[in-house]
Amino acid sequence: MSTNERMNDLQGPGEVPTVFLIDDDPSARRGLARLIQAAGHAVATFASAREFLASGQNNAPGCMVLDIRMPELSGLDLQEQLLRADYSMPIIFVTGQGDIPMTVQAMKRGAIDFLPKPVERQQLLGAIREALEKDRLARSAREESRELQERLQLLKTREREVMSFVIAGLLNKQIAAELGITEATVKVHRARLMEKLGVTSVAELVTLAQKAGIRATKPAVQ
Amino acid sequence: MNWVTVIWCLTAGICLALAGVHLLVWLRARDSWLNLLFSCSAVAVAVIAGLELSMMHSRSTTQFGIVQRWMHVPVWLLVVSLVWFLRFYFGTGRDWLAWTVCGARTLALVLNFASHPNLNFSEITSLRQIQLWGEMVSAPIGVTNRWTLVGQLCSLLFLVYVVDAAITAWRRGDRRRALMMGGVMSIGIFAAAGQAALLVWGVVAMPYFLSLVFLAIVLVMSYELSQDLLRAAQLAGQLQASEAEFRSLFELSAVGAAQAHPDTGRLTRVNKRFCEITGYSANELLAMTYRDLTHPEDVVIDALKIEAVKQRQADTWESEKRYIRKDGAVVWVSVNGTVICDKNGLPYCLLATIRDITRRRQAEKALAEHRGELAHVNRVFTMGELAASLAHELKQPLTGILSNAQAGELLLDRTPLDAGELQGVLTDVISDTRRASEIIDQMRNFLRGRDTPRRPVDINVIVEEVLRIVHSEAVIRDIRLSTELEPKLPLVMGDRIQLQQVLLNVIANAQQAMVRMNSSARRLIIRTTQNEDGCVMITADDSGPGFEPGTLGKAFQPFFTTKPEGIGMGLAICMSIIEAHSGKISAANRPEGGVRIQIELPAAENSASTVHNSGGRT
Repeated sequence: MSTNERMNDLQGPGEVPTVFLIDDDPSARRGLARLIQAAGHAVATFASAREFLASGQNNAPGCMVLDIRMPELSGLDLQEQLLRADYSMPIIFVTGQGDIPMTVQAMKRGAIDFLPKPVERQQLLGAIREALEKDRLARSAREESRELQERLQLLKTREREVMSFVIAGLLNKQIAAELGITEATVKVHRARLMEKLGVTSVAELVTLAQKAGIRATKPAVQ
Repeated sequence: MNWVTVIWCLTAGICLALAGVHLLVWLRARDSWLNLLFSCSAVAVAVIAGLELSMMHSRSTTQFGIVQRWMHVPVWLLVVSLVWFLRFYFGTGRDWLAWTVCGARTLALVLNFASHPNLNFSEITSLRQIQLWGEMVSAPIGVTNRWTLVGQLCSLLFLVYVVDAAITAWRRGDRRRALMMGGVMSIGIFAAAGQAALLVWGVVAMPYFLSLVFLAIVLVMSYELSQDLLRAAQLAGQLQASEAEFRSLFELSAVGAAQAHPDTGRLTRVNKRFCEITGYSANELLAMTYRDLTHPEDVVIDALKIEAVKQRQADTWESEKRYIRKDGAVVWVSVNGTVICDKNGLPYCLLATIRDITRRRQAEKALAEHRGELAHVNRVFTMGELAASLAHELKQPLTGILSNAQAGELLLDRTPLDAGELQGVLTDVISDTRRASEIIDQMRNFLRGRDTPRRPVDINVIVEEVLRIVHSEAVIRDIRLSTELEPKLPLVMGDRIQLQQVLLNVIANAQQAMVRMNSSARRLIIRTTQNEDGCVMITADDSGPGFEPGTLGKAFQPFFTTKPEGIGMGLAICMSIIEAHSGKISAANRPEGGVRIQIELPAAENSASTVHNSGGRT
């Protein structure tokens, strides 16, 4: 069991994913922190939502374990605030008394889990694993799309036009007709854009375009 | 006939006539002593006038002497009557002076009959004939009797008495009468005594004119008395008018009004609205007593209140009670009454206004029912809140304990063992466990209402206070509540509010248990006694269905209830309060049906002396 959990100990390059634990009750906070730490995660604890916001770590890699019932800013309030920002790490809610509407609201907003206090180890650690994985994936996806965008920035306007026709499945001849240029010129544009984007086949180009969210341009007249 | 005879006869006649009139008045109203005294005075003056006439016509000294001797009888009567007339008329005058004047006059009378021929003269030597208004009349010449000084002293005292009484009356503001009566009497006495003195001492020779002077006094007295009669007549007129006003007010009043005999309770007068409220006709009501109308259960309370007013412990009484209408329906009425007394202070009539408050009562009943529901909802809500709060509070340390223990499991798998971290786990588990235990203690203290200071309390007073609170609800629910309180109960050290709460809970349970019983069978008796150990016992016996077999043992357990809407905390709270008072509470089914709740509380130490001290208070 512990070996599985220690697998999560593997730290990726860069920042260490951290579990941000926010609970106003000292007993619960200490106990949960110790459990999470014993499971091999890095833990940062905060006694209130404001304390966490003040730390400016809401974009750090990791996840949050958040008590719902707290004075001033409740767990749900904090979730709402973070959602309004660009990105927020996955949240696991823990609560001494949760009702159904509260749970539904939290889950609808994308919470990983909603755990009643006292929290069972398997549930908590499982949820943390899930959350960290989700965060990691989300981060790498973001990284990938950021690189892709950078590469797309290198394309000239004509190359972009050609690309959108290529992924729509048009032949060079057809593209030339659409754009009113010679087939040879199309070929040159096509070779350049594939070089800039670092792809070698049309299939690769289509996948990349999908990731970048570029739409295929269908010919005006079929 | 000549002028002298005419004038003296006329004087006597006037006096007799006035005496007759006022004697008649006195005969009709025996307590009008003024009229009787006036009559006596007037008769005395009439006799004096007659005797004077007789003296004037005396032909011998012997005859004159005898007549003059008898003259002292009416004079005595006159003086005594006038003294007491003034005493009653002004309400002033010194008693000792009055008695001295009467005594002196009586002494003079005695001396008069002891002397020869009379008090005035020791010897009448001759009669002088004097021309008076064309007639020859006799005037005495003789040797002055030295005892005549007693008579003159009496006149002087009388004068002092009159002047003193008049001055006091004047100071009291009764100026006109003081001037009139005091003036004419002083002048009259002065003139009469002066003339008598002059005659006796032989300074002048003239016949007696006393009756003419006294006539003036009698006329003034008569005038004053007639003023009183006139005022009485005016008052009678006003009374009639006010009676008429009262009657129309009584009859036309929008509220019911009734008069009744104070002893028998027989209705003597009822108005239209009262007939409407009771459903009887006026004639039917006048053959009934107010008790016939009153609901049997309200008769006693009503009687107590009316009795208190009759005994002058209160001026008015107010009660809210039930009447039974002719058609058998029950109406709630609010009665405001008073007792009307005659001038001797004896009650001769009960007067009351009666308002129909059935609607208000119904509204109150609905409100009370609503309030009962609300109180229950509130109680359940509070319990729910408390439970939720307790759960939330407890879950925090429990989270700490569980998480630490599970972290400990993980730490045990590690090699090498991290002894420091495991120590931390155990320390946290211990402190979290303590914290959980404290939370439970706090909550229990809160539920107990914290530790309030204990004071000596009288259980009977607490029972009465609680009964006052629940009385209206008991009436609404048709429950007959009664008490049998041991009067000499030792005090108990306790918290008044908490003990009231226990009793309220017990009574509320009993009331709810009896709801399904026939209304005539709903009875709750609260008794207080002292048992052989000196403990104070409170017993509540209801006539409800009793506990079902097997449930009796659970009666005091939290969340045990036989009521669909109950939450089962009532008796559990009672038990914790009574136990906090070092007492016992138990429940049992009574052999004759229903439940008996018995509460035993230890008497306060040295409560014998405290009872003694509080004797005056309760």
